[in-house]
Amino acid sequence: MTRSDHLETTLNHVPSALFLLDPDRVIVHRNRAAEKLAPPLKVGMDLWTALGPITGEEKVDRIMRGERLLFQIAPDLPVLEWMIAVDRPPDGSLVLMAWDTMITDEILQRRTTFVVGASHELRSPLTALLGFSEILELEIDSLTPQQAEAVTVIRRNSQHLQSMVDDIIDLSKNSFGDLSLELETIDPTVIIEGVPRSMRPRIEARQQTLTVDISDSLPPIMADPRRLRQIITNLIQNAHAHNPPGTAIEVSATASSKDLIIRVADDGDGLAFDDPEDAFTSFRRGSTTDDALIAGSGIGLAIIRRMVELHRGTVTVETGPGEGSTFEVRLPRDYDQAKFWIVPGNL
Amino acid sequence: MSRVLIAEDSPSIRLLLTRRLEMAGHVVAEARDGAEALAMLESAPDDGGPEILLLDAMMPNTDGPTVLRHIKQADWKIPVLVVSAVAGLSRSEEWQEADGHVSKPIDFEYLLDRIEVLTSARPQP
Repeated sequence: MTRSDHLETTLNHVPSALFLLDPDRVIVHRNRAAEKLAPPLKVGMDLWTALGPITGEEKVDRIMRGERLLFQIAPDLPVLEWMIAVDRPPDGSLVLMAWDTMITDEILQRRTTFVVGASHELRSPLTALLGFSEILELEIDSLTPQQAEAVTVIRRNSQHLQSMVDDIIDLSKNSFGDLSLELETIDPTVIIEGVPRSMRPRIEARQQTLTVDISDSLPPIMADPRRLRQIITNLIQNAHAHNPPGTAIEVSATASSKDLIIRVADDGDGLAFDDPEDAFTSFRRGSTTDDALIAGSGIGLAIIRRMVELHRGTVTVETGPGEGSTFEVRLPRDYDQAKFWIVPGNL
Repeated sequence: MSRVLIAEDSPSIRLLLTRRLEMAGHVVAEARDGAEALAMLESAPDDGGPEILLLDAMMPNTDGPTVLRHIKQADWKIPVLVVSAVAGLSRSEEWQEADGHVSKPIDFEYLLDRIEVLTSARPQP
């Protein structure tokens, strides 16, 4: 047997499905296990065309980004775990693997049921906590100063807890692929102007300044307006809450030939992480200056990144202790083409 | 001022709802689950019974959707406000006939406003 025969035999007896994709993400080769486990993914199809109609394009994006995902191609086929090899051949090809983990669809369903159940379990006690502390606050004039103070701290922390529960639920829905985007073509100027305007009162109440610098004629982009609003709100809120009075916050928006670029910069304390990327993966909040303002912000950046990725964009930060922070969100002008720029990265 | 029936299995939430509604001047009756709520509605007098039902979405013993279905099929003229921990429930089929949705944690200003709108809109017997 020649070496080529050895390779052929090995490939066709590996029980995992193996696909070789060329730099255009077109399937150029698949092994025998792939034919059996994922028949619709045929040679000559690009991954989005092959898998998109079955699982939705968003899952394909996530696989391409290097995430391991579990899903079923068809009800009569096993649930497979899918993974792109991060170590890529030098010519830009990609290797995609899928194997049978023995996890059944039933187990996957149970995860969703868990999230729904957990959400109820967590939200009910929170409702009682918030509700009764609000009742006490309504009677605050008839409480002693210490009682009034205690009630306010209870109510504030209950709200903080509620925020974090909301964030956790959002995050777990997202990892199960249940966080959905409703994409439409929008004029981003409306949102990029509107969000700072609505946040200005609370920022100025803390003696911070907010400047907005938006280029004329920003290009229209494909986005979910609700999520875009959430992304910008979160970034401004972080700058507002994590920095002391006197901090200057700037929101700016420009466009390159490829992207819409939105920046939220502050000249405040900067983030205390060795690697700024950690800010997006760590639950640590860095420094806290005022309890009352840091509602749920620990998980906020992870969610922001998720939402930006759902738009096929990127979010990065330049920061350092004492150096302020600049968050940059890039959203592609051509959403469809942008799928080809997704590469497996460090997760 | 309205007569409100609450169907809620959690004692803390039941107490919370009763207190807030009484503070706003309403008269409140409590049911601990769906079965009790239906029994109370069935034995209610024609002109002095509850004018609106606050229905917890997740309850044991005759669940929320069953109560809702029963009320709508029997054509009892009582608006049903669903209270639930899960957002987006209003889009699910079994809750389509509800007259309104309130999610937890409860925004009481919104809840009290909904009660007022729904009880003033109902047709007089």
